[in-house]
Amino acid sequence: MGEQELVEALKDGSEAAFKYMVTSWQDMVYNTSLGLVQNEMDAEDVAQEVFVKAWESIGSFKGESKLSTWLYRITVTKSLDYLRSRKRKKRFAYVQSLFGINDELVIDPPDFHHPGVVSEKKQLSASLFKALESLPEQQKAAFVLSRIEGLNHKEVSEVLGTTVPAVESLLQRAKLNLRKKLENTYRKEM
Amino acid sequence: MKNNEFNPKNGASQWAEQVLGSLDGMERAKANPFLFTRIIARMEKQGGAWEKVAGWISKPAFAFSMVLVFVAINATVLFRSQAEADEAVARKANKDQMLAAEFSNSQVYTLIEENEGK
Repeated sequence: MGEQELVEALKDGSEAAFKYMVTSWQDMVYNTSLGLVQNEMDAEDVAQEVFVKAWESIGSFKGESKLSTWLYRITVTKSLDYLRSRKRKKRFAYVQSLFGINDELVIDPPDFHHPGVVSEKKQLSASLFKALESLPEQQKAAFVLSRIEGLNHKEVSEVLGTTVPAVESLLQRAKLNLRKKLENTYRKEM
Repeated sequence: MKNNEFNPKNGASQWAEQVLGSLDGMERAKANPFLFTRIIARMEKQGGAWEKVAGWISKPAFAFSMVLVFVAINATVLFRSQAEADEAVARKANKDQMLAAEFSNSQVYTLIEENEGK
């Protein structure tokens, strides 16, 4: 099925077309979300939300970009929203614990191990994912799309709605910040 | 931090470099094979109008907006009733003055004098 044909079928409300879209791009959406939210259950939740959103707003898809680029865009937005909401909840729980309203401890999640990382590099990559959490949103998104999804700079720029030089700058700053953060971790913990 | 690949002789920058390269050769994570079924179940659950309304009402932004609207209505009512009370006091004072002027002593005496003159 061609992309134009698929979009038309989706706009007509075809469930078969929707199933085709989900099965074709579910790994792409899930992997991107997993790189950003760093939790398998949360990533699946986000992936579900992405496809529901895509189904609901396919009418507004004008075909100016590829369908996969549009799905990437929804995935990044939904994942970043999810991270913001998780941060807000964590902050709220911490404030509650200060006032004794909530006695539950605010526990940091355990190290994240991405299932696609080569087994001998799992521990090292866990340190990388930990450092990734501290990056600003745009740098984080650019890094995940480029290093985890393997998109080239032009594709990343289309997803983030920016220019190729802006993506190069984002990635350069992301690597610089990650290196700084990792060196500090090394000095503190090793 | 326990790390099998970590060589203690390496410096911080070398270790950081190793960590940054740890994603080389990684594969894409696979989504749950039942994702489509779960999405359909989710859409059916969300489908009801009341669920949508409940979901909207339960948003913190909605609750915050409602509090703001409530405070704004209260403030308006309070200021308006205050203004009306001030106006009523002013109106009453004006009426009293007019009444006093109408039945002031000088006018009463003039009336008496007029009657006696007749």
